[in-house]
Amino acid sequence: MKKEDETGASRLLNRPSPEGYLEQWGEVLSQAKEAEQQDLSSVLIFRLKNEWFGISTKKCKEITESRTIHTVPNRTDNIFLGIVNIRGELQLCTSLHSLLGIEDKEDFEKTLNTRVYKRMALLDVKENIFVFPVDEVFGVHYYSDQEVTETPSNLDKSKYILGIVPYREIHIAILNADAIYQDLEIHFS
Amino acid sequence: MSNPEDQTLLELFCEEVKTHVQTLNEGLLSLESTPENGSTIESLMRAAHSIKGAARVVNIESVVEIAHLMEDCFETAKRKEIKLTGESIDSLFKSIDYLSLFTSLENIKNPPTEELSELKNILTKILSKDFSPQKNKEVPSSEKKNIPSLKDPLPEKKSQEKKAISTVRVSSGSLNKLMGLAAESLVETKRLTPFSESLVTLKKDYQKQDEKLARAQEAVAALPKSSRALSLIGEIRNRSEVALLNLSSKIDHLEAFIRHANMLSDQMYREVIASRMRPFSEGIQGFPRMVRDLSKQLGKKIDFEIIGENTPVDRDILEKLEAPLNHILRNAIDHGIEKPKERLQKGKPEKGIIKITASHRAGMLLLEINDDGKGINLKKLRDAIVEKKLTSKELSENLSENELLEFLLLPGFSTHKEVTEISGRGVGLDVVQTKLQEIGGFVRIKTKENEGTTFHLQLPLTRSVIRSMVAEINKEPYAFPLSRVGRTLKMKTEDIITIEGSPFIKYQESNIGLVSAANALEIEKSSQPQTDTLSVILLGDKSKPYGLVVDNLLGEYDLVIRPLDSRLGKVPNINAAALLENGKPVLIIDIDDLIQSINTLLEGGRLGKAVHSKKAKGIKLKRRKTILVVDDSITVRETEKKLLKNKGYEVDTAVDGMDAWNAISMGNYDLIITDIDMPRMNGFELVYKIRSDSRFEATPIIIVSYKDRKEDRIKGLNTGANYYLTKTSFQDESFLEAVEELIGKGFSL
Repeated sequence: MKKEDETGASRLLNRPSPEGYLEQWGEVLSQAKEAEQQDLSSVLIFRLKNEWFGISTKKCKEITESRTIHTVPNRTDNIFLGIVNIRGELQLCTSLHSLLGIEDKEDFEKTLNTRVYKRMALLDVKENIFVFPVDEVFGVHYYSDQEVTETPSNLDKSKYILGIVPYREIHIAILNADAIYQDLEIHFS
Repeated sequence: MSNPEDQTLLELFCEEVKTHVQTLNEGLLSLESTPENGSTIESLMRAAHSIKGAARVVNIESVVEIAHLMEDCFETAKRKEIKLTGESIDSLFKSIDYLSLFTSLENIKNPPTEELSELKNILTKILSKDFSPQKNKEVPSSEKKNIPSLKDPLPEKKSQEKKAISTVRVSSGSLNKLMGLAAESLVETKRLTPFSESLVTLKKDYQKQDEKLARAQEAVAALPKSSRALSLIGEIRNRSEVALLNLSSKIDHLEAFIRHANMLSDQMYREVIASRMRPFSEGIQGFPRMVRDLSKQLGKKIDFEIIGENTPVDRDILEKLEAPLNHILRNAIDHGIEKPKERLQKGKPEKGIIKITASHRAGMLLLEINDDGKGINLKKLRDAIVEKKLTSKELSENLSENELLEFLLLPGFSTHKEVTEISGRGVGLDVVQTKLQEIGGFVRIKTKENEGTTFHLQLPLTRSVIRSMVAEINKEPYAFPLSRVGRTLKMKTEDIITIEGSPFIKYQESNIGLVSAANALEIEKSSQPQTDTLSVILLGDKSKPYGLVVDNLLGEYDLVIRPLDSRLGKVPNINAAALLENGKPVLIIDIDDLIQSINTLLEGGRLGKAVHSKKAKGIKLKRRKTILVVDDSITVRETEKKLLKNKGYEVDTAVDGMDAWNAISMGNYDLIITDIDMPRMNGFELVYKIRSDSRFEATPIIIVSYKDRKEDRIKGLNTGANYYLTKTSFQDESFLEAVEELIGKGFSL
């Protein structure tokens, strides 16, 4: 260990900081942090067919591998797919594809990941869970309100979409989790 | 006493008092019946002493005083200075009741004061021997039996400690979560085995590679100037051998680990499930005392026996059992067992016997509550039924014994003339019926005049685990509870006989109609390759068996029942869901519901294509008016059907609200006539359901019920029924008049 202390690298890293450096950074860090936290929202980015969507990470807390869906006679339809086992609990599995009216679109070939896995996402509003299959999950993205552009009004299911956020070469439609949840609840009542 | 620490302390105190009060009650009861048993008195002393100690800690003076006096009583009795009998035991029971007030936090905060001084006086009197007229009468015999208890007070204490440890309170929600997790861990560990098998395959591949290398080594050795290549190959072989050995030992480790993990998760799973079971005795702790007090109050002499105390029962069910059992027992004491004099006149022993027997039979919990009292007078019952206008005199003559007894389970039905405090005011046994139906059980009454009455209660053992036959229907698994499955068969397609277009098989001399499971469940079937064997599940009773054809039988499984998400509502033909060993969901079939669906399907009625043609416009005008009659009594159903058919209406029937709702959703009815009290879904619920569905808003509904009270009438009409009639209306024309007013005459061609 002694030997290493004398190497050039450690000398460089352990050198005293220039005058005023700590103060300056201290100020920067203490300010910027607060401002940023207020503005940024985090969404989980996923793909349904050929469209990318984002849903607030506050409402979508979990992504799991795809699991077997068991249809329910007299109940299963295009929105309600069946029941699915998520960590030992049976949850309702619904089709966001159908709700958003994109079930007939082509599956996308342009992808953000190197390998594509089908997943299931859990929409969790007020302790009530709906599961929905997604064709691909990319990850979590942070965006500020300034980045959001308005939803084109010609969009079919615009009531479910809060706005569009550009990300790399794609556009992410930010979903209104509460509106989706409400309509799913209505579907079951 | 307001800070949180005191609060928890008080809660603990409540729990402790609860335990000791139970011991006191049990002890005092057994002391009353066998006064010579010295060990009983010891346990009584200890319990009183413990309460005293605990009360001192939380500073509740009144409890300290009473417990202290009680302890003194027991101690003096043990020394044979006083004898505890009759009235003094009553007073001690009263003192226990006083103590049991302190099992709730509310009472602790506002302790009742009135009885305190009175109780203290009485207990002091007992102590001063004024109270024991029969004092010292039987001293010699009791002294003798007292000796063993003095010798070994230890075992008694041990068992008591055990009792205290044996219960912990866990919220049922967390228990359910635990069960889910235990099941999931079982599934996850099972996935390790295929993984380790894949490693073995990998090892074999390596071995093959090594063999190839060995051959390469030989081939190279034959070449000239090969020494360098040979030594390289030798090195590779050495290395791969080391790697192979390493791999083998890792696989061994993994296998040992898998065995262990499998065993553990299996044990955990069983244990979690078992934790839901409690001995039957836990649900009936209050009964011996209740029977004693009541019989005393009524001047009757009754021996109360419990057989099968240790029968395990699911805690959910145990909880729900208390109310119906209580009701039946009170009935037996009040109406069943005769007064001692009357019994002697009849040549029966003076003391009556009430016996509760609990046992498991064929996957069900069986309870029998039997008394040797006067039984039920069927003639009087028949008269009462007619008097209450529940049926006509002629009809009542034809009712069988069982049918007559079923009237006892109707709401508001009581044959007892005078209202007594003991078994309620006109509240009949319908409470028993409703409570049992809530937990999937049913009740039957057997009676013989002057010999007694027996209530047979049949219940599911648990609401959490069910042994089922799992079958594949349309490539998805469905579970059939074994308790309701006759048996399963593999049949050759050539064994199917077709009679009038309906497929049958012959099995044990009877023709069994075949129904496709997918059809009965209304699943759209994807095309299935034709096979020459059929998998058949036999359902239904002997008089009407059905063969349900499934794609495939997967075998028997113990399934942990999960209720279906409430957002789905009641799903036709489905009861609940569960998880298979591979973690996949499976739906559990509601057999009763399914049999009903099959019935309707086979009657060529309302399912499938028929529905579409009925819905088509234009046809409605030409067809006859169709009425759905809903009643759980076959007599009423058939009476109504006959009356209506005579007037030219088409009539379908349903046995309860659920059945009716299934039919209504499928069919097209001009009028619905329903009873109120029915299993599974009652009339009010049915009417409400119909009215809240936009398709049936306008369908007229008539309620026909035994209930003739104003409240029921108003409730029925408020829920949305057009008419509320009583069952007496069959005799006059009012029933048919109402029907005609609502939908016109039957023949509308």
